[in-house]
Amino acid sequence: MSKRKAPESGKPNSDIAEILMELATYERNVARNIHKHNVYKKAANVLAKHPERIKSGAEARKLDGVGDKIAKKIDEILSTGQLQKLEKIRADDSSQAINFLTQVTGIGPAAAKKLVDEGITTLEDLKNNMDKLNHHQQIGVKHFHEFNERIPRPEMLQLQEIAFRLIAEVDKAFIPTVCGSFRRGALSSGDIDILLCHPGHTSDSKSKPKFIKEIVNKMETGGFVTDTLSIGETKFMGVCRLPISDNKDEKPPLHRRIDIRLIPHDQYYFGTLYFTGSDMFNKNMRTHALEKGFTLNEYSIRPVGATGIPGEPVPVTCEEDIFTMIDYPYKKPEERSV
Amino acid sequence: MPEIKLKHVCSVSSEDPNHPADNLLGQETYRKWQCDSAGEKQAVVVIEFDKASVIHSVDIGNNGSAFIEVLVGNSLSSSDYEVLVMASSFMSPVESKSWTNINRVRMFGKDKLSKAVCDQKWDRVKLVCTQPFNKNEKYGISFVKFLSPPTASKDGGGVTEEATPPKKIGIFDLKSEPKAGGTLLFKKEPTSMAAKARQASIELSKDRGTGSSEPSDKSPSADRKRVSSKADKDPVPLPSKKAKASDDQAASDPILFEEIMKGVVFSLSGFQNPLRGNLREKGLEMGAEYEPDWGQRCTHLISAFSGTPKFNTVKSKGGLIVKKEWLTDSYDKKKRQPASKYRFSTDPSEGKQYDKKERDIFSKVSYTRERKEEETKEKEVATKPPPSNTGGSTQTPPTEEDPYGGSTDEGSDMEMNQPGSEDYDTEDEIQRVVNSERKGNETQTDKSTESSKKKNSASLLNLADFFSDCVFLLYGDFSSSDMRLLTRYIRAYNGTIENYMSDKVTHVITQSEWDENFDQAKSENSSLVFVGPDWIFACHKEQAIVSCEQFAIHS
Repeated sequence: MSKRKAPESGKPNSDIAEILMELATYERNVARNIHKHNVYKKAANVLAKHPERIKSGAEARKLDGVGDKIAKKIDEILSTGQLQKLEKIRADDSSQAINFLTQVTGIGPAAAKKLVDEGITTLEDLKNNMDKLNHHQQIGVKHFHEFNERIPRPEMLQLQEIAFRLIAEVDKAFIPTVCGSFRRGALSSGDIDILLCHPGHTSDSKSKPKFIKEIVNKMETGGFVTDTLSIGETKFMGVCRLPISDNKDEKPPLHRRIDIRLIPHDQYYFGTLYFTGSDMFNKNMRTHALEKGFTLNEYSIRPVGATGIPGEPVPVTCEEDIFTMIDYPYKKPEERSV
Repeated sequence: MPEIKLKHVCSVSSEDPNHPADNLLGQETYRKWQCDSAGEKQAVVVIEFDKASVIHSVDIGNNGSAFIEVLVGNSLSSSDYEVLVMASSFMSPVESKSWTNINRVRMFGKDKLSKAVCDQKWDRVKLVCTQPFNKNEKYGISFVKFLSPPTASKDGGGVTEEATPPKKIGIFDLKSEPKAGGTLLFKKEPTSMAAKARQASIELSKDRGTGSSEPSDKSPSADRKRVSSKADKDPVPLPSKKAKASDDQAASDPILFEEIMKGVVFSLSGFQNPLRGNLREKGLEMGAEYEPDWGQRCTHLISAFSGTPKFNTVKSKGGLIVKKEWLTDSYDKKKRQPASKYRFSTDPSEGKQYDKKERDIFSKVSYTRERKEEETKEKEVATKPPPSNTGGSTQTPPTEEDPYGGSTDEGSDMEMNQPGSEDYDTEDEIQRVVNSERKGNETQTDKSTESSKKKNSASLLNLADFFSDCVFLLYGDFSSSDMRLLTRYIRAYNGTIENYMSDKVTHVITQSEWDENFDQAKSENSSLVFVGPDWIFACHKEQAIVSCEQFAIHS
């Protein structure tokens, strides 16, 4: 999944939601508290979805995901236009630096903190200290600005077409799906995320398939894939771009982040469901599954036994089967942007 | 891989009266268990094993459940059940909704069982079924089998023995059934029964002049010796008494049912199926062996009538030839009857030969249980005059058609299960009273008829036998408790239960609606009556046959 989510603007409460999102990011990257991060993110999401302008913290309090403390913060934002806590964070150089560095692919909160402690805080610093970075992070620095650009949907469609054609050239039996916000119909995406399965590859298969390597080789020779961040038997992370146009006046196409995952056939639809998201939608669906006596994750759905021990994975043949099983109204991918 | 015997159902979340959880205990896989109403969240049944066993594999036949989970536990420890087979899919959501493939069978080998628990011994299993995809159907399990490890280890061998199918007549378990009859009698007139028993025991001791029948004296050997010594003292031993002695012995004989006929190799002549198959089954159940043709090994020929080709062959070779009642009586009384009583010829000297030959046959047989008393007894018999030397009329053994055969069994059964219990004392005393009463009768009138004997015994115990002329067929499904009560009452009031429809049947007891089978049966036997089980219960209440009208099932 992309590091940069499309901003939700133009909604009545987008300003409050953005402030909360910033707090969420701070909690994740600097304070390293994933739970606080989740709480702020949930509140930001629910506010962003709210169709009317919130007038007070008490009003916001009624929304699911907004508690006492966030309500107080909303009051503060509404009365003063800003948030003291956030101003302090913004004023703190190291917080800002950590937040910035984590925007580079391959640099997480831990690596960012370490780099900031060593005095590396800007993109220039990173470029001067390439020896301190691993291969993944170096590529991230190299294409930093390009990776920060969102991919418009028309380009996503082109990328998808090329990728699918190359995959079919390796083996027609592959079933590929581009997941992520693209599948939910988003107008722009942060990266391209392809899920792949092959009928001959299930979770019971003993031999590790060479599919990923074959596909990546194919894509590299065609010039589609330009860099590899990491590659394993089931997962490829790399960089791709559209073919360079013959017209020299045209700007060369941007480098884009691409992930390809090979998923065992029996787990495929759990993978597409999971990687299509949204993450809030997934959380809601999993909660619902538990209420219905099932445990759902990105690999399988299993009935929960009498003592709480999950049972045997239940086979499915499509995403809809999973919805049916837990009696959850089917949502098309475009309807999953909760 | 021996099957682990299931003892009983400890609890069940719910059960359809027509498909109770007890069905899972039986061998018949077509009998199923399902919950009482559609849409139940889960259906749970807890079954106890006959003995704690290591479970090596599990076979489950589904009956509409989407998921089935198997947990194991121990009846003595209060700890929770642990998962043996994790919740496993038996029907997909689509199959559940369309209600197709509801009877899938899955076998879970050792690799599918939880490693943590499958090496330990367990005596309880809990089966949890769910069907979240279809709220309109009842669901459950059609059968479940637990198998212990295939190795000939110590416990494995034990289980093999346990795993032999329970002895059954039709649907009735032989071991549990007489007990049920006994409690019924007790329920009826507990105080007077006990009083009579006490009185009878005093009279008995007077009659014997030994005074040795203290209530505490319930050792089978002592009882038998007493009878034997009495027989020894008796100047003119009567055949009836002899029979009585052996009857008494039956009451306290610890021999296993499946060994009653151990050593017998029999052949059949002149019988047609289904009777032929029926006789063969009974013989085999009692431990006899069957040979289709008369050969060197054969000991007994069971013949329908004299003069069949086989009959003549066997006679010329000097084999034992008996009527079929030899087998059926032995079966009903759970005691091998002397072949001499069931001969075709009335020649007394032949009876003597029969006894001798039988002794030769059975002297080689070793039984599982201690049989010292039996041998002593056999010697005593050997020293005495043959039983049939007093004339042809005594050929009819008094024990034949004994309406209280069930009570006789009762004694032995109770004794095996709970020696020294109060119930046993009283039962034993009653038995003795019945015996002594009959003995007295026979001494006075050697040629007393069956009916008078029956009348005497009946007057002693005041037992109703209003079903004497009725032959019942239990048709369709009954809950286990109903089934038990019905058979108890019918047997208690001297009714006969047939397993199959025949022209002997007079009453069909059923809970079903009228269907074309009934029409067909009615056309073949116009006097047939179809009644609900409540009629039996009403008769029991009234202690007489009540009008069927209210309970009849009409077309």
